[in-house]
Amino acid sequence: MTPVSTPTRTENMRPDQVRAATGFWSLQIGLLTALVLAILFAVGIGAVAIPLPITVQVIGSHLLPGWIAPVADPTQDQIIWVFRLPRVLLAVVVGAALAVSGTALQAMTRNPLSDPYIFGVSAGASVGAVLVITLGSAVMGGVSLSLAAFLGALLSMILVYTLAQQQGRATPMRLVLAGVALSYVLSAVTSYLVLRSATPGGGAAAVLTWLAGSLGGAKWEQLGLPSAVVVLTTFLLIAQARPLNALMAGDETATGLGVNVERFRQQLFLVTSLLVGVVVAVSGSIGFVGLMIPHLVRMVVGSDHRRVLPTVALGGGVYLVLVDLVGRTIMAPQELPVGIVTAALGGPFFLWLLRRR
Amino acid sequence: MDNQPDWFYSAENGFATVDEIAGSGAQIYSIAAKCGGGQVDAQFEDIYTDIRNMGQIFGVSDQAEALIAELQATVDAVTAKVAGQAPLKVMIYDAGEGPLGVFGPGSYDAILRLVGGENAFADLTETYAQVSIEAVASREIDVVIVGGYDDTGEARADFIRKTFPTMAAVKNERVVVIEYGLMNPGVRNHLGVEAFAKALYPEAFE
Repeated sequence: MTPVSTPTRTENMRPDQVRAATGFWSLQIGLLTALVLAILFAVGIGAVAIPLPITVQVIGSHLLPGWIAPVADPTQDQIIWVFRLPRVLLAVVVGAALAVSGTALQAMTRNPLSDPYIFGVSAGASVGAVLVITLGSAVMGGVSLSLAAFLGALLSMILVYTLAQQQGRATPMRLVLAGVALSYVLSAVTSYLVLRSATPGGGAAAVLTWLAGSLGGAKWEQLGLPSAVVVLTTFLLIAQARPLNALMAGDETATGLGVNVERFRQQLFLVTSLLVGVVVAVSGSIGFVGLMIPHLVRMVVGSDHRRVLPTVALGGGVYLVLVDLVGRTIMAPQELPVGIVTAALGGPFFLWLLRRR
Repeated sequence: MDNQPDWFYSAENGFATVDEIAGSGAQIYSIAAKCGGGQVDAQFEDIYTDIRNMGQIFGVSDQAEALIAELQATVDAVTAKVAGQAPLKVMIYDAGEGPLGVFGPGSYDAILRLVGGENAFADLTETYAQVSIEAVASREIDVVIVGGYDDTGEARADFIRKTFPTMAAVKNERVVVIEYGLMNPGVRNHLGVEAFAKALYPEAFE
């Protein structure tokens, strides 16, 4: 994910602008390097210890079949290739998606407290997922857990948008309020479904894990769609960086700068909700990433979305890979849902940062 | 508490604390064998302790002893059939597709030991935990017992079959759904022992 519209010509710039531009590119290259290193590091470590040469051989044998021989132990092959690698890559995709959508939604609502779930997307996804976990896929017409979650997210998104409409207009305030209200209704439905199935064992723990947000069930086939959507929307939003900046300055300023505020908000709502819906379906609702990363990045690169968006995408990816690594190794063989770790680690760090500034 | 009980039977499942109940003037009997995997140091005999104690409380000790003898007869018959078999590594799986909810030491584990099984997650410090998918893949599991609580049992068994094709339990078709009703402490526990034994050594029952 490289930024597309950052100034590259330096001859007409003041010295401080040149410095800022160079600093920005160094940061991007640094983050990209950090991302690659984090991926390699995270694939090499897990609940089961696998020697590094074996890890490299497993990945090599799948990428270059015929050139590199498969490893002798099928279990090691399965752990690296089927479980660990897709999980780490999914962490990159989900982390990037949450950070990018959080950034866009904070601009759209002009509210620093906005996070990707503000419009009730995760509450809708939860109902879908919990229905499948507690009733079984068969009862739900064979719909898989992630499809059910996505449909739930889509449905809540449409509901919020419809409920927030007034004379064909949906202001950010009405959207947020409709989202919050619907979230409460839907979490009541989720709680009821969990209580209904609360027999000993009874899958209640599986539901709680999903609600807390987990990457533990990552599969290769879950990667394609979210990756495509994340890359597409990130570039789309970077291309819209100027209207996004204008929106941050206020509706009147934005209109003055030639932005059709009404329509632009609708587009933002659609794009971000789709993005969040796609990732919530495969990861549950992982809190705090979409709130924290955008603020953190703005502290470093300023508030220009041409700089913020590519940086949050890379930063969100690095962050979630490392946080998930902590969650799956700290109590091995037991696992902590990544959503618990993001909040437990991210919260205090963020507060410390706020106080330092 | 509205019913002003003279006697309160508690599985310590958190509806009221022992102190609260005692404060209401009722007498308390806290059972030895508990649900949901029980306590880490649970023994199969805990259920006999409960039957015996309740026999005393209600003045029907003779019937209690008769019931214990009846249960033990079934257990003896089952364990005799599977005696001398090679020990098998067993995972008792609840739900979840990553992480997976499995049972560690506890009352289900006690039934397992009785019939010659070894809990693949006996090293857990809790009776129930969420373990990572790769830990499950690496444990060389011979039999998977899927806890049945509703209609999703077979679907959860299919998840195990689909996800771990190289696992011995899957290759040898030893992924079995057993109702929690048979495993949870109670007078049907001898049936649980029988179900576990059949899941581990079906050939001994042919």
